[in-house]
Amino acid sequence: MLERLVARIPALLLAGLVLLGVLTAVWGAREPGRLLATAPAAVLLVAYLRAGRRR
Amino acid sequence: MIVEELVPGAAGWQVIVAVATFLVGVHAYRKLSPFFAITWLGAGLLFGALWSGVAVRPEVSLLPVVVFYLSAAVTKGLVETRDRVRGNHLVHVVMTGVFGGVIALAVESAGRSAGWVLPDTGASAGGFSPGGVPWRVVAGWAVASTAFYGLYKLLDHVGLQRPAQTVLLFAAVPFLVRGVEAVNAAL
Repeated sequence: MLERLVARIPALLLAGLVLLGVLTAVWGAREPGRLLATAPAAVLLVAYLRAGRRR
Repeated sequence: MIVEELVPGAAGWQVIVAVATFLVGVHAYRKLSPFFAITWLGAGLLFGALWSGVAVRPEVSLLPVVVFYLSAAVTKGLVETRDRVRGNHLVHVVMTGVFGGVIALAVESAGRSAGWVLPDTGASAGGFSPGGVPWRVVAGWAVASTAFYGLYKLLDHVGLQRPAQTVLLFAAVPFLVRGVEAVNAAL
């Protein structure tokens, strides 16, 4: 259980970063345009998760 | 709105980076090796401490090692599932640089929105700014990620014994920082 959680740390950190990006863009600076800067990281997260499923 | 209070302030940002550094250390220790964890985090923290303008706040010194590790881990996860590039060190290093830029773009944009202290990449502002972040800053992070991972991988694969590898890695970091700063200033 713990090992599985440890293996997911990179995905958890990346997901946290995407969440931070959305929070700051929409509710922090109130500049939804900044979501553009988080979009590539979100795409990277999805690709990483899909690659993890293939392994 | 209650959601607005979820956006971390300066102290919250410090805690986030500290926790992320700890988690990176745990992942490196358990999924790779204690040697890897110690050398990567040690060299990464030294890199962070020497990088331009980073002596001001602890989270600024910690952030580079987190971004480099995250980009290297994501790259490893993606590269290892593709037969054509599996085991190709050059592709791994270059993609780590590209993904380092992608991750740094999100960090820089969020950080600039929320007023968090970020490392000074040494890159000048101006030109195209995706999400309010000058492209030169993103390129600066990409250069730093590529250089750091490239150095680590090079020393890991030239057949050195671990003590020599460790000494050379730590001795090379100050020169690596100078090199990255020179490239970023020229961008």
